[in-house]
Amino acid sequence: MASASPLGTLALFAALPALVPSLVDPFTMALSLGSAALAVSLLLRAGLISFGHGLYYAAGAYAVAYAVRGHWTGDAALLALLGAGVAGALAVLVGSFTVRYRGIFFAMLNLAFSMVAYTLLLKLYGLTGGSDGMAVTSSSLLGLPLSPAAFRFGLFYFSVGTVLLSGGVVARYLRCPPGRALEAISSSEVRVEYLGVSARLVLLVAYGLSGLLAGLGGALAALDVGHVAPDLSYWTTSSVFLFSAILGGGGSVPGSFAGALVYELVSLYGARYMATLWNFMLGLVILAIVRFAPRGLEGLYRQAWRRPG
Amino acid sequence: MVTTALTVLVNGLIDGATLFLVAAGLNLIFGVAGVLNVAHGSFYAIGAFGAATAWVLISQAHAPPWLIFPALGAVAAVVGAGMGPPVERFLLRSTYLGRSRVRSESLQLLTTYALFLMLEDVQKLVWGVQPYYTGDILLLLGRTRIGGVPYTNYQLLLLLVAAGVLLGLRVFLRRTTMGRFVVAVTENAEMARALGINVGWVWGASFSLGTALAALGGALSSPEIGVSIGIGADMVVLSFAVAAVAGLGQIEGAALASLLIGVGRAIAVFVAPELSTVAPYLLMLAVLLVRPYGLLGVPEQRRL
Amino acid sequence: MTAPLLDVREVEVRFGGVEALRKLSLEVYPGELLAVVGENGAGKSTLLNVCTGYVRPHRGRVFFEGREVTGRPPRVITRAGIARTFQHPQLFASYTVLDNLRLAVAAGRSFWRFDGLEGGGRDAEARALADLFGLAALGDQPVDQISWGARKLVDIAMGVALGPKLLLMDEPTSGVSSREKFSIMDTLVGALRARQTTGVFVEHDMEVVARYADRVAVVSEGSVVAQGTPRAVLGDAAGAEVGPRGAGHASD
Repeated sequence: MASASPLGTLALFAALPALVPSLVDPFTMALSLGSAALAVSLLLRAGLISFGHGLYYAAGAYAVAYAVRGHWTGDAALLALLGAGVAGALAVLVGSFTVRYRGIFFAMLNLAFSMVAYTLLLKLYGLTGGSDGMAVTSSSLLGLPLSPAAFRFGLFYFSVGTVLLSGGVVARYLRCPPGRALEAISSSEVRVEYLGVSARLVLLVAYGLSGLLAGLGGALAALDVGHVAPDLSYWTTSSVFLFSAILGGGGSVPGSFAGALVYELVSLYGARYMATLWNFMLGLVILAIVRFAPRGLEGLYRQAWRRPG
Repeated sequence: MVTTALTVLVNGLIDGATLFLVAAGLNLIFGVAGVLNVAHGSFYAIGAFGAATAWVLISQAHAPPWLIFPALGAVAAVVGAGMGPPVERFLLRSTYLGRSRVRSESLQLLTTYALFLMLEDVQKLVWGVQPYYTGDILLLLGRTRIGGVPYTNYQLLLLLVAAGVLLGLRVFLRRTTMGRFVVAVTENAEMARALGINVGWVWGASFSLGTALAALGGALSSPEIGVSIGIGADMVVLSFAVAAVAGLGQIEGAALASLLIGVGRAIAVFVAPELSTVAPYLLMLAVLLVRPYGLLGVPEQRRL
Repeated sequence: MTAPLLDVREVEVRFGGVEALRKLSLEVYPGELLAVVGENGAGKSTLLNVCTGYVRPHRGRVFFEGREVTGRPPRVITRAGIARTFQHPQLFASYTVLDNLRLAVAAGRSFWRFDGLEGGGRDAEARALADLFGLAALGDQPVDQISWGARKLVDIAMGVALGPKLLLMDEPTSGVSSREKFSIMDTLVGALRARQTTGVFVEHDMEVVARYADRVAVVSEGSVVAQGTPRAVLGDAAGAEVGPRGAGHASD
């Protein structure tokens, strides 16, 4: 029953831009951000905090940019898939190293990798365009050529579709033994090993999936904004993912997207007033959530909807 | 050829000196209180900004330039003693114990990460976004030639300070009573408490000392770099890399690791300048692949 | 004489300067229930840790079903057919009793499946185990909210759920009331017999040992100093109390 309301909310969310066209861009970005927040959430379930998922977001985005530059395809759907795939593959590669670690090590290793990527993206001007970044142009979606205006809407609904699909896959995954094992690992990794299950393998699967999701988000952002730049891999980007994940409640599919949407809307209308202290506010809110509402928005939501008795 | 090698070595030593100060502080705090402060690098930056401000004030007041030296120390002390205790007491103390080790570690991580985020903007607010260049400080003490290459005596002073800190910490921890208390708390806080040692005080003092070391590193290195937003974040990542190579909690390891990384960076500057910022992380990766817990680190074994 | 299921040969373990196990040798035969007794610090838990891969011996070897398992990690040893329980139950604190059991069942045979935690017959098996161990009423309670005795039972049930050939139990009845002890042991022994699982349990209560064990091994200062039937090892008075048990003792 709890899943009925998120779907209803999603339907409302999907319908709004048709009525209020100016919401198309922020909503697409919210979906992109939500995908990355979900990626971080997955790992939070296992007690692993990543400070560097911007790496996979950037990987997805730059994969799209290179594909466009190399004229492989101009189709947004294929590009999004490509971005997700490249990021997922990268995650499996990096993950085979990072999932050996826990706690601060895991968090900081991810940060280190993402900052190294940032530096490389910035410095290797010839390959990456340096701080100027690269342009991304796409004019067709699922084989249909679209005008720029129609493309924005098309991309939005495509994003809704991919989010629905990926969200569904993740939700199912979290209900099955490999997904259930994530929280088990954070409860008692020893016990997991003594059940004959490899915690590393379970985590690698989760990490790869999380890379894929973040890459999808990055690809969607690249397609929406039309441009990629190194700061996609900077720690500030990663902190927004983590923030959204924690705001959402740190573990569920709807929660992650809720957190991302709230962040996106607040940053859209609030950034003007608090630009200098933006990180400060993020930090303060994280402290508040961690101290007073550890289950974030999802927890508050469940409390509101709890049946009496 | 030999002179080149010597130059690289000396450059590496000097670079490593600052790194050591910061990493030693990080490892000290971790060793004693088991806290890995993500925001440790932020204190480095604040130390650097503080030193830059001190220099600006000294210049504007036309005060004698040598005053900057005690000022550098003062800045470190102020940061350590001023910011350390409130952070440790109000932010971190409650995260030490918890029902689950993973949850309390996650709590610590998120709390210190939030602190890092907040301190980044505090720096922006107080000091703005324009870089501060205080390179003139470097010239105050004159120059020396080593292997035909001129170094400022300031840089050599840095080396001396780092060596002094290393020696000082060793002597403190092994020879003094207070140092032995610290070691006792490091090995077994519960036991130390039972023996009557004020564990909370030791934690607080270690945190302040570690923080002061980070700020000292920042203050001392400020003339060599453009002090601006972003150096804190860079040091957050870099100091972790050093600590990871050393082995968490290992102070002597931090010296070794800082040396390695300093020299590694110096070699990279020579061979592939574009990659010099990335060199420390390649080194970290290489070390961790062979020794997952760092050069001197030990894995934790839980008793079942 | 049947071949031993578990063969521990002259194992030595040192922690820092302390010798925890000194040339300890022990054999466990298929189908038996062996009790390991000894004073605190004698090395009983270390013995279990060595047999299950948590600790690597400096010398000596461990064989299971004739194959060497010395120094293999816990995961590999579990897959080979040895399961264990813990002095302090290691459970998934945030999950319910049934979810803990379902995960254990999944781990036992079909982990990489995507038909839900309850799918593939896992739910039925978990419920059957819960019933067997008297935990059915607590099924939907989070395990961090149930009693110590119940938690010990969940721990044991999870071990049984893996369908091991050998189950090593570290003080399965410690911390529970005398009354509960016997009922736990009855359930435990019944479950092991039904599944033809060999069992080894560390125990401090000699009455429990006398009543349920087929054989006893006494560990003192890191080695086995005596082994045999409870009566032989513990003396006539203790051996006289023999509870209802099924047939099938191992020969000496």
